Amino acid sequence: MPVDLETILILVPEGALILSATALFVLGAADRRRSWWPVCATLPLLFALVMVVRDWGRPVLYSGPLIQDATGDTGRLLSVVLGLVMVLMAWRQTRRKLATEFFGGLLMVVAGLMLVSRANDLVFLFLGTELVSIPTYMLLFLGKRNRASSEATVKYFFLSLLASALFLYGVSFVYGMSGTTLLVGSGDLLGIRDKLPEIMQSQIGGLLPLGLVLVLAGLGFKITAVPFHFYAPDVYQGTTNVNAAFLACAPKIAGILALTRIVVNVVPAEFYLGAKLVIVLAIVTMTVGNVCALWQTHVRRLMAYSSIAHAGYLLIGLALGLASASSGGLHGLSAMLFYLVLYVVATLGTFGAFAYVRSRGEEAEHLDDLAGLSQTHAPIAAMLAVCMLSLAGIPPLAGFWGKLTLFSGAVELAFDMTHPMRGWFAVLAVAGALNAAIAAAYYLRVILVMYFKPPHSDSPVTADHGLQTVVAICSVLLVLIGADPGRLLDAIEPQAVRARQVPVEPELGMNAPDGEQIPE
Amino acid sequence: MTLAVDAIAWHQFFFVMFALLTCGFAVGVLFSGNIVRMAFYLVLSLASSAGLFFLAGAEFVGAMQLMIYVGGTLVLLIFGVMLTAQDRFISLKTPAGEWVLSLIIGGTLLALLLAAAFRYEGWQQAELGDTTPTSSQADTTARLGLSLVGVRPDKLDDSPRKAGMSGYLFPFIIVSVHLLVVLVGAAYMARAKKRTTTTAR
Amino acid sequence: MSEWALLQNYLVVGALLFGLGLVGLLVRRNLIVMFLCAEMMLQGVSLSLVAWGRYHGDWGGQIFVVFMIAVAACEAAIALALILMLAKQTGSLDVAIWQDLREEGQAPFVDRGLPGHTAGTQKWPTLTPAGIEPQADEDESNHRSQI
Repeated sequence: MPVDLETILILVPEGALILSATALFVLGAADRRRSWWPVCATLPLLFALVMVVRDWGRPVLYSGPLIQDATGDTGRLLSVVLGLVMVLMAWRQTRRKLATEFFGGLLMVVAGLMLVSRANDLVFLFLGTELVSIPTYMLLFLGKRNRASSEATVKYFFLSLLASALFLYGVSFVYGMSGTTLLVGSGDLLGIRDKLPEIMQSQIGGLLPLGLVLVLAGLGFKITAVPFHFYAPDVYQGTTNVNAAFLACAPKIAGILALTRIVVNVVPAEFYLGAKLVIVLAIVTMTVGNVCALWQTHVRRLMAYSSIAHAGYLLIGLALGLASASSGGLHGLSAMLFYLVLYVVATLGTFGAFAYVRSRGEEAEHLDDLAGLSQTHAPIAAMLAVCMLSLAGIPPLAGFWGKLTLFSGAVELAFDMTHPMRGWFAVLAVAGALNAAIAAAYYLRVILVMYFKPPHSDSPVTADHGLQTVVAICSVLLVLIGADPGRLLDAIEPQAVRARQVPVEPELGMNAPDGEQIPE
Repeated sequence: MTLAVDAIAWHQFFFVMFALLTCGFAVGVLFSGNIVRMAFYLVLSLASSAGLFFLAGAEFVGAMQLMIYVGGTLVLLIFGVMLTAQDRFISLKTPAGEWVLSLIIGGTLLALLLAAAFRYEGWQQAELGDTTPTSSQADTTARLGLSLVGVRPDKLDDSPRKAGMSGYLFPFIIVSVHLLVVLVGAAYMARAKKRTTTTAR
Repeated sequence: MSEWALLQNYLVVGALLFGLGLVGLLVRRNLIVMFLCAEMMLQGVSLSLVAWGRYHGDWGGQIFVVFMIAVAACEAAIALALILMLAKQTGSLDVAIWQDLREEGQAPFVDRGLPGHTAGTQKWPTLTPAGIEPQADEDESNHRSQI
């Protein structure tokens, strides 16, 4: 039997997405009207959603190049939801002539994200990230065709090339140390994770820092971490609001999930250099993002710097995951996933609202285009304010709980007297708190513009129910999660602990103990 | 015995030759001022690195490199060069400051990489790297081919989890999906546009 | 075993290719050349992957290179389409023309210290002359076109 049945079975949603995307590409050429294609894109996504929810919380299972665990489940659910929301956003926003290409590419990206979230093999991980970025080039280009859009595509394409070369070189060293492409082994099959502690003792272990730096650089491009962030504002500015929403979410999910797979799940706990590196990266990233965002007036540039800053917060979770393995707790990883979910929801809502507002027949670009939105379109203004406040981390909303879980993890390690890196985490916690304060300034400025500036003579909006629905769904989600954050955290948390354990036999994963709860 | 010594000497000779060709033409790509020559140097550089693949005992990859990379992909790029080659932008000079900056960045990385590379010496397992063409290497090619359709011959007997090792069938399928996306995307991007700039939504 | 087949030799060649490609990608301003340099970086990665694979006696590295070659072909196709489209649109492949999108108040990059056009000094590949060399015509040699 060349391929075993269980591997096929756990790949059903991805397969369905890829097949329907292919069908969209092929059949779309035959139909000129193309008005019902969004429906065709929604159906496989709904099917995938049902499958993913059905598979939720299954025991940890290693099946060849794939792994089924909490990170994978969360990542898959998040990707499918992202796909559905993007379909809603793009329903009326894409030109109908390009609908099949756009939705086909979108389905491919969702499938790629789902593969990355499950990958347990370097080859699989690489192909998954490429399946995210290759259709992204196409989607970027499909948005609109003008000079700015071409420039955005060129910049993104070439920097993405550089990033994938750096990532691959890092991967080649990771492979070179261990001699296997399997990340986490099971049973007699040893993966990189199982071999690394031994390799670290030998001469060849000296490659780990080099490989780690290169992998972090390559994936840092995807999550817009700071030395590699400079493309984001330009690219977001040059493309449409819908595409910017997509760019702010999809590569970031891919990057964070890939980092989880290749760094957190693999690097041994005694390797503190990795955590130190990530901490420095996190502090620089959030500071640069937040400070640069302060004087932006273009809405998409503002959101680009905001997304850079949030990449910094996400890196806190990565550092926690790297450093806390030895002290038993693993909420770093689940806090990061929790924050990722909240970030994606709030960002989608924000860009949905931006796409909804028009000024002079064009998409909203300047911050002043939002002036007086509260008087002309009170519901949208209120919902946009909810998204903004959540991104800023104002208490009752979901974003606050996300920041709280991350920072409390850092503080906990900082007060852990036995932890060798407590000083680093103390600095990290302080930097995070300071940054949250800076960030509030520019998010509040957007709200001030909406509520206290007089409206323009005409502030028309698109009559796009898809966008309205997106903004409504996102803001309601943020309020709901904010009211009861424990439910979502619990759904992510206990499994994340299990993912860290190396099962000797696959059956062992079934009765893994629940992880410790996050103190609130 | 003399035959074996001869074989070793030839191996050294070929390695040095291919390595010098690869690096020499790579330097040519970097410092040449003419884009047509640059593309041609890259073809030569990559073709000689295919020779290095053969020497390392990776015949399948070497053949793929020659046939697909050099023969297909780079020829495509040379077409691109020729389609766009007009004297107006055929040579673009870079300010000296940028050269210095990039040389510093590239040099630092290179120094790190070389420092890493010089720590390790021998092949760990010499039997797979036997340079004389034997049946075992033909076997490697067959194994690679088999694993692409989902069979891992090396994992079939020794592992209790052999059912879990499904070879590289899925990556193979995913790569084909990549190609499909690229086909659609490239066709869309490069098609002649008439109405596109005027059709703002 | 021959000492020339050592792992470190392969790693050195791979690192050289990667480094040269990286410098080229950062320095060069022609979009096609930048892409060529990116391909060179990938080649460096392939070499070190194959070398590591042989070092460990595992052929996962070779498989990885096979997939890398396929993905590089994908990227080449996208790059070619993109570059041709841009060349048609703007008539130039200089990356320096793409600077509409930048921070407000940031000065645009301008060429300084470059002597205008360099096309005149360009050496073009020519066929080697065969047969009797024609008599040098003074008038023609003074008025020969530059290309």
